Parts: sequence; C-alpha cells; structure tokens
Amino acid sequence: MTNETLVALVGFPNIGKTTLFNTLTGKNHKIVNYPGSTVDFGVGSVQKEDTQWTFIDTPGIVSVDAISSDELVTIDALTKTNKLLNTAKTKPDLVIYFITSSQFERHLSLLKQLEGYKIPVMVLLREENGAPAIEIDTLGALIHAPIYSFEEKKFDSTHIYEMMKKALNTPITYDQKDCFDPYKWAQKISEATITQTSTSSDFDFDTILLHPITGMAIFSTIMGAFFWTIFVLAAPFIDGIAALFDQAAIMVQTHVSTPVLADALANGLITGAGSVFVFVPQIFILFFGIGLMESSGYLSRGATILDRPLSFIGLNGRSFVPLLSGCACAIPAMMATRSIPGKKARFLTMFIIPLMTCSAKLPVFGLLLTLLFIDSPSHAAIGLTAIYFGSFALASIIAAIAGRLIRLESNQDTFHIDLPRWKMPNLTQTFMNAFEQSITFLKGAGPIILGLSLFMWGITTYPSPDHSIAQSIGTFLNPLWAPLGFDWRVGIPILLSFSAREVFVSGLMVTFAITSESTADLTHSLIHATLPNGLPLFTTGSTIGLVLFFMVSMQCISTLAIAKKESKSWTFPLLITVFYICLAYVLAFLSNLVF
Amino acid sequence: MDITKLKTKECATIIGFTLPECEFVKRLMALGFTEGTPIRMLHKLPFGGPLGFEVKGAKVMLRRDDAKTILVSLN
Repeated sequence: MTNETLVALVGFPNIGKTTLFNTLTGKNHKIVNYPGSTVDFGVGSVQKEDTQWTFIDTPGIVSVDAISSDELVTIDALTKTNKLLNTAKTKPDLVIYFITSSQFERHLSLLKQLEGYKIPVMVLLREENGAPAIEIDTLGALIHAPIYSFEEKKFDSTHIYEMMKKALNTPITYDQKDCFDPYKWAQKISEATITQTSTSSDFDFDTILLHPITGMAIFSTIMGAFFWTIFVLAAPFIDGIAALFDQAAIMVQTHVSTPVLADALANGLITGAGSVFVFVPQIFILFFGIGLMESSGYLSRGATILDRPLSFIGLNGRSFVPLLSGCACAIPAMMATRSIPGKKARFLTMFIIPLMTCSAKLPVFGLLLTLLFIDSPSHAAIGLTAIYFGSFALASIIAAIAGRLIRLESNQDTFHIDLPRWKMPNLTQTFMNAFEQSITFLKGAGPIILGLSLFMWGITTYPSPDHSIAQSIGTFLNPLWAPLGFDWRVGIPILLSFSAREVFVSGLMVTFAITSESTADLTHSLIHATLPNGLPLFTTGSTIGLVLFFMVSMQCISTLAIAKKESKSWTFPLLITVFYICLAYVLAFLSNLVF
Repeated sequence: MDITKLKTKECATIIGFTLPECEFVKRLMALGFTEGTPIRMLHKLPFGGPLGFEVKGAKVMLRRDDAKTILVSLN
C-alpha cells in the first residue's frame, strides 16, 4: 500500500526553495514559474519505496502575517492544503524550512512563528562562504528538529529523504518559556550557536548599481539594451522563419494538385502557423532577458530604483516586474502582480498591464511601421521606440487618473524588498527556462491562431472569393470601419484580432492575397490598395490610427481570462475591455481625422 | 532620531517605533528591524527614493516614508 506524504517547502524569498523543488521532483512537476518569482504554489510527486512524496513549492514569506496575495498562498498551503490540492489533508505532513547562515537570526524568527501550525519541521541549513559558522548539534538540540546542512548548492537528496523520515518521527516539542517573542528567541539561539562571526568583506557592487548617478545610468543602459536586443537581435530570426514558411507555402501550392486543398494549406494553415512562429524569437529573448535579470539579482534592484517614480502614479516598486513581463506577455504579468502589497497598487498595475507592448503587438506594429516608413527602415526603429515610450506615458497617465477615481484602501501601500546577493546567472538554466516558457506560449496561443487563420481563409474564400461571407459581413459593418478610414478588408482582420492581436497580420494576408493581383508581397498589396473612390486605403492618418488602436485596445481573450481569475470578479475584465476598446476607437478616429 | 536621518555607512541601534504595534510594525520586525538590533545605512536612492539597510546579515530596502517610523540611537 502506498501512503502519501505531503511536504511543503517554506522559507524567505529567494532562498533556493524552487531549486530544491526542481532537484527533488525532477521533471514531474506541473507549474512553469515565469521569471519574477514564485507567485503560485508548485506541486510535484516522487515515488520512493512504499511512499509517495508530494512536494509543494510555496512563494517566499518573511512572516506568518501575510500582506500580499502570494504570501497568502503559502499560508493557505499550510492551513488549507485540501483547498489547493486533491487531498483530504488540511495541512502538510512535514515542512522543509530553509535557513541560511548569513541571515541566521531572521530566518530563525520565522521558524519560531511556524510552530503555531503544529507541523513537524526539517531544517535545511545552507552554510555560505564568509557567513558566521554555526554549531549544528547545539542548534538541533535547541530547535528540536533534524537539520540537514550543506555548503552552497551541493546537497545530496538521499540525505534529505533520511532527514525527512527522521523529522516525521520526531514528536513536536515546544520551549514553553519564551514561546511568545520569536525575535528574542531567535536572538538567544543565534547567540548560543554562532561560533565564529562573519568574515565577509566582499566589494559591494550595490554601491555602484544603486548610486544616485551611476546606478540610474546603468539602469537606463540595461533597459535600453534589453529592448534594443528584442528588436535587433530577433530580426534575422524572424526574417528566417518568415522566409521558411513562405517557401513552404509555395512548395505546397506547386506540389498539391487539388486547388482547394492547396489554397487551404498555403493561405490558411501555413500562413497561420507562420504568424505564430515569428513571435518565438522575441518571446524567447524577452523571457531570457528577464530570466537573466532575475537570477543575477538585478530585478529587485530595478524594483528599488523605480519605487519612487512609480509611487507618484499610485504604483509600487514591485509593479516593475509585472510591467516588464507585460512587455513579453500579459498573462505571466497579471500573475506577477500578486507580490504587490496593498489592493490599490495591485489593481492599478493590473489595470495598465494591457497597455504594455506585448510580443503579440510587435508583428502588428512591425507591419504598420513598414507601411508608414517604407523607404527608411531606421525611421521604423525610431517609430517602434516611440510606441514603447508612448505606451508607458499613456499607462502612467491612465494609472494616475484611475488612482484618483477609484476608492480602494491604500494603507497597505508599503515598499520593502530584500536585495539578494549578486550571483553569476546560470546561463544553461536560464536558457532552458526561457525555452520552456516559449513552448508554453506556443502551445497556448498556437491552436487559437491556427484555428482562426483557417476560419479566416474559409470565410474569405466561400461561396466565392469575389462575394465571400467575410465581404458580406464586413460590408454590413462598414459604418464601423468607415470613420477609421477602412473597409471590410481591414475591418474583418480587426474583428478577428479581438481573439488574439497577432491574428490581424495573418488576417490581412488572407483578405489581401485574395483581392489583389500580387499575392507575394503583403506590404506591396497594402500600399497600393485603394478605397472604392480611388483614394489610398493606408494613409498616414489611418495607419497611425491603427497603431494607436493596437496600442490601446484590449484584444486578448487569454488576458481577460487571467484578469478574471486574479481579480476574482467579472467587473474588472469587463471594465478593462469596454474602457480600452472605446479609448482605442476614439484615438484611431481622431488620428484619421487630424492627419 | 528616526532612521532616515542616518548618513550613508553610519551605524546605529534600533530603540523603537513611532507607531504602536500594528500590522506594519510587525512587518518591519519580521524584516529584522527589532528593538536592540544594530543596523547600518547602506544606500540612499536619489529624489526621496528608498533607503537600504544592513540588518541581521540581510540587505533590506525600505520606502523612505515607511522607514521614518523606525527610531534609532547612534552608537
């Protein structure tokens, strides 16, 4: 008979819980943690002899009094386990608690607070170079828990299993005398067990990186370099992928003999798949960059540097990571807002995340900027930079205004963050994580985009390309696009882009490939496209209007789903949808009118 | 005096808080800012930005307004 043992990994943030979790569970775990930090629990099981060990990786906490949603997840994992997992148990059978020798006293205080949950504890003590030396036997006798100590990253999982078994058989004992003040208790224990004080005298890089002048300069450089890499480094890969799919489409059209099938495959399926795959380089670079900043410890420095400016518009330094992730994808960004203390700052951050230039918007902007600056690619790059800055500026204005209007308690709006030690990032690990996240993205977005591309192809081909269903619907809805300067050929892709923004580009490919003679070059077709009255379809005004429309409009079903989940109500997703669509429409209309 | 008055690299000992024990003070204590603890000012970000302290072996950044509640005496 198999018995299940539930083990929760608990400790301060950035202490190595996830590293241990990954080592113990190998690949048998469910959650992909996006860069930023663990904001949800992770679960993984391992079968050893007759026991099934189920490990729960929890977000870091500093105290049992949770003030943010990610901390609440940890408390729930310890008190309402049955609500999180498929188990009858209300609490885990065992806690693995993390202590480091450099922050020994702080970590001990939390250990004392955990006693209240009456769960057996095994302590994992990481002995760091230059940190105080600790008398482990004395410590074990004082805290009544088995201790496994190891140096830096060298731990041996066989030993950990032995210690866990020992901890499960250790009766829970309390030191009744000074149970009440965990801080005095921790101080007393550390005085009794530290044999040699800290010898660390490393040069502190933070004196440069958080310096009023050099710190700000380095921050701007890193952010600038990060976004520059996204455009410049990804470009050849994107061109390569696009060319590959073009070749595939041509091959299919020449080799498949049934015309309908060839057309469906080339213009529906392959075009659709291509429009998904072209994102991968940018998504990958975004996740890789954020991963590097996280594993080196720079993300918390960035949050510190941005706390002051962000607090002016009602946000928090901790909004930095969600907003940065929002430049990759709004979904992990919405989840990352859990670490923001205070309802108001969290709400405002979630409110402006859809305005960030996520990777799904990039192909749309790429196409529109090529139309605007057909002769000078360098101007297109400037245009994209302007879009990024414009989005941040607009987001700031909206947050500042919304912050004045909404009434949510803001007394929990505090900012504090631990700066982890500087580390050389593990390149292989970061690379693998970014790869896994890109795959997750492809799996999530791929089927929707593919399905819609085929759908698009269907409604623009039947009953006949000259009088298709899409054309009928689009013409019927003409009053909707006319103020923006467009007809059904742009209107239908806009309509479909409400499921996912990137569909816009493949949608245009389908509508224009059919209505124009030149099927090879989309840009060419678009530039020469005219309205029935002979005027060009893509004017400066209407194209800038489209750029503004895609900057602002809320067009991602997955974002709405996660917004509903994170806000636990329908009001919030409905609010952002209506607000951003109306704003986007008005801006696009004004642009078409003015330019 | 309150902790924000310390100069960079100056050391002091925490003697109390300007607020009674509330959720926020509890959080500061959990971060390591307990009475009698020696601390050191490490960083002061410009334009009224957060302050960085060395406390119990950790490096903790606090928003300046939040830090004002901590009272210290110079060693």
